[in-house]
Amino acid sequence: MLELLKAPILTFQEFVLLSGRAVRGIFRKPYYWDDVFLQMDLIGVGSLPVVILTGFFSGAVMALQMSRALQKYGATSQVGMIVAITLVREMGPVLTALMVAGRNSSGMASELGSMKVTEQIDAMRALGTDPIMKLVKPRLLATAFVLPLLTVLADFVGLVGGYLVACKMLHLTTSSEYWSSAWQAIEYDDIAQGLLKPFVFAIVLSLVGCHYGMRTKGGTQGVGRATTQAVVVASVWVVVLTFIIGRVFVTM
Amino acid sequence: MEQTDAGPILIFRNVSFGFDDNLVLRDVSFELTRGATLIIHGAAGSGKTVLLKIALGLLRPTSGRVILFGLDVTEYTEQQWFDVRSRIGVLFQEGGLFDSFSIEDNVGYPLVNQPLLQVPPEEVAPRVEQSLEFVELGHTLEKFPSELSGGMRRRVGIARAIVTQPELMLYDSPTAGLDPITANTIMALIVKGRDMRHATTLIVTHRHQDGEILERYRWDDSIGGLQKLEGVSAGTRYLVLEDGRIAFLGSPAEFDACNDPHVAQFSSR
Amino acid sequence: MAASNKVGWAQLRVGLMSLAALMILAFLIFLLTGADNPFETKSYLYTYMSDSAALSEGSAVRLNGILIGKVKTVELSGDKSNARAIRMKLQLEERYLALVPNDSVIAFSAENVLGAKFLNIKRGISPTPIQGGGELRARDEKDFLEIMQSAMPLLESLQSILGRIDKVVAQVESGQGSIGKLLYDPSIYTRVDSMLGDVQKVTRALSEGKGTAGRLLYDESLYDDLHRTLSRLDDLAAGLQRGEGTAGKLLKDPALYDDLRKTSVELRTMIAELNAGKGTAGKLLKDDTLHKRLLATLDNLNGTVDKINAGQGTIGQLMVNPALYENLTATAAEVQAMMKDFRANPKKFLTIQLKLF
Repeated sequence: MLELLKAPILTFQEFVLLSGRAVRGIFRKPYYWDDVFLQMDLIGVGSLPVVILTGFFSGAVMALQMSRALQKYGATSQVGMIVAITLVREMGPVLTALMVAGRNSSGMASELGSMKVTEQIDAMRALGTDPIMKLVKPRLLATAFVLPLLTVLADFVGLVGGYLVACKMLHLTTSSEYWSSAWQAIEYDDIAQGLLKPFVFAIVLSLVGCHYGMRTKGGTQGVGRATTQAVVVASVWVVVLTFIIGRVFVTM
Repeated sequence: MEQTDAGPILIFRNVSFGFDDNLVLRDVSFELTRGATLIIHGAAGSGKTVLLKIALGLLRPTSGRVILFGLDVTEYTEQQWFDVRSRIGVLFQEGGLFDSFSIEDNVGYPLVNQPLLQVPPEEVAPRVEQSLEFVELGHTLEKFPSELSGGMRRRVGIARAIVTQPELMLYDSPTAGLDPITANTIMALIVKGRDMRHATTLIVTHRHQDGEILERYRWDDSIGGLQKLEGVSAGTRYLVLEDGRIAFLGSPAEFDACNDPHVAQFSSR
Repeated sequence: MAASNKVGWAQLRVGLMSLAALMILAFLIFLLTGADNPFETKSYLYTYMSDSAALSEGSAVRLNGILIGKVKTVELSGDKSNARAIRMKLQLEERYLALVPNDSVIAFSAENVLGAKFLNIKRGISPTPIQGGGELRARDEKDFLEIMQSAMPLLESLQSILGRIDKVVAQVESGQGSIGKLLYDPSIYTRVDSMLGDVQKVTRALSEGKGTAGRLLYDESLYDDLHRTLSRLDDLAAGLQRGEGTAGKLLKDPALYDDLRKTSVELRTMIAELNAGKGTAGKLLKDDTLHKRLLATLDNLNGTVDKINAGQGTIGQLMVNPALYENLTATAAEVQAMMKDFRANPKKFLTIQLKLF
């Protein structure tokens, strides 16, 4: 029984160590800004199509599914409000984070994992570069910067999707009613939550991806395994954290 | 930094690595004097690579002490190791090149990234070219590792290893997976590096031919190739690892004379 | 190095994306900082209520339903009187102030049952609009609770009525009173039951063709008789048509008609003469003396009736003398007995004979 627990605990311990070093390293030189920008491009702009599609359709689906319930209560004018709140608070951050996890946590894990199994990480260390600084920190900074932006874009596109469904397809409400109820429903709290969550998710996504990458063992098979594990663990953490953060905000 | 010319560059004192039932290295002790050559033989899994990594500080020994350049580096932090490593050149198995960088960037990497060296930017390119010329790959500056053959990658690896003019050279299985001709080319370069730059050389290999070349040949720049020696190259010693333990440590003569079957399989006789 | 070019492009793309996202965010925050134009001047109004009804800051303020501002703060006013315990500060844009007369009344409202509460200003009729910083009167809105409270006496009276109904029902249930007896007394039931039993027997007898009625229902011979009679009638009617017999002649003979016409003409002349007071009948109609004579006769009659009442004369005797009545009663009793007899033995009495003409 203890044997079963040993492995995850060890993994977690290493993860914490890695994260600690990465976070401490944020405020220390050297900075590899080129790498940061390249990663921002890769993670941010690269994920843009996926995120926009996901956001658009989740907003549309929200409006679609809520339409029946709202019609029952005669509250179809509130569809904008409902889409806005669910998107900004929950679905925007979570779905965006999950998409980026699938795309980029796995990418980080496989990239770093390949480097590990071809001894490039060791070479880097031998040649005087701290891989945490050169590899992990740029990815961490890039993701933390880019994920909130992606979330904002996803939220917006989701609202548009909901608008198209509610006003153009189902004719539940007028467009001005939709948009005014949408932005009226959002409070500062929601925006705070909607931006804090992506930020936290970003940290988790990048660190998990890098961690599994750097810990890869066992050749190409190991790389594949590391990639899968990275995505799974990152996604699970996203879902758990969204609950925890939401809880904090709700009790506040 | 202390320059103990006489003292050994690298000392392993009762170094062990591993846990309880899984000791990869058991009580390994040896000394490597400046300018000498140490050839480490051993079967796969005998702990050769681990030994090398400990010598580089990539792994920390679970017990024992490691002394490099007269400094006890056993407890060194990563930061401290960066300084030490600038004096060591490493060739990793398969080259260890960064596949996202061009050859030029790869070879120039230690110059640009090792903080202690403080190489001015305008000096980087000439030194890179010089290194590549040494391994006869001066024309590959713009290429990427994926475009080169295995042998060429090894040579670039050597170029990268020597670009900083290190005092100690570590070679991890430099001829593994290569055909005999390319392997000999690589070995020739290693001899060249040893003789022209008087670098202390530690080479881990499973081929006895590699040991022989190092033992019996020297680099003759006038002919641009290897020259057989009359006897053996001074300071050459053999170390055989078996199951993490030192099975043999001694001169080439003792090596040839050894009757231990594990040891004998590595000698040509 | 080629890398720097790559980095350059990367930076550009990232920059564009960041810009787009930040713009959206800024726009949203801008919208959020109050639905208001930051460039328009704001004005504030105050109102005092006894209860804030958990209205939150930022809730809408509407004028007759149209959104004109929001609730800026809700706080305790520190005022001793309960009606002014809560002070609300309302934020409106300056241009709306002119639309609010200073006698307007503000009260709580909600969009629908599930909707959020807001404050609604009912426009007053005063010509002067309210000034910035002024106070709006709050209407004492009867909250749901208060409605409940005012309904209490009604509920109490309902309760007492119900109590009385209850008692009545209890009585009925215990079999007292006519209704009670109807519901609970078994003797009536048994009587009705036996009556029904009799009816059933009669019905059965009928259906079996017993008794006259039964025979009426089931006897075929009677039907044949009827049929024959009807055909005779038919012939008769045909004969009438043809003008046979006196009735037929009456129907068909034109001579009688001419006679009748003559007679009516004569009648008319006669009536005219009557009107003119000719002849005896005319005299009767027009002559006054007859009237007087009639009156005298009536007096006589009256006197006669009095005499009768007093038992004088034969009629009088009939009127007053109980003996005849007693006889009649006795006869009636005999008839009753006969009825009983009839019932017991209907055949003795009933012999229906249908004979027409």
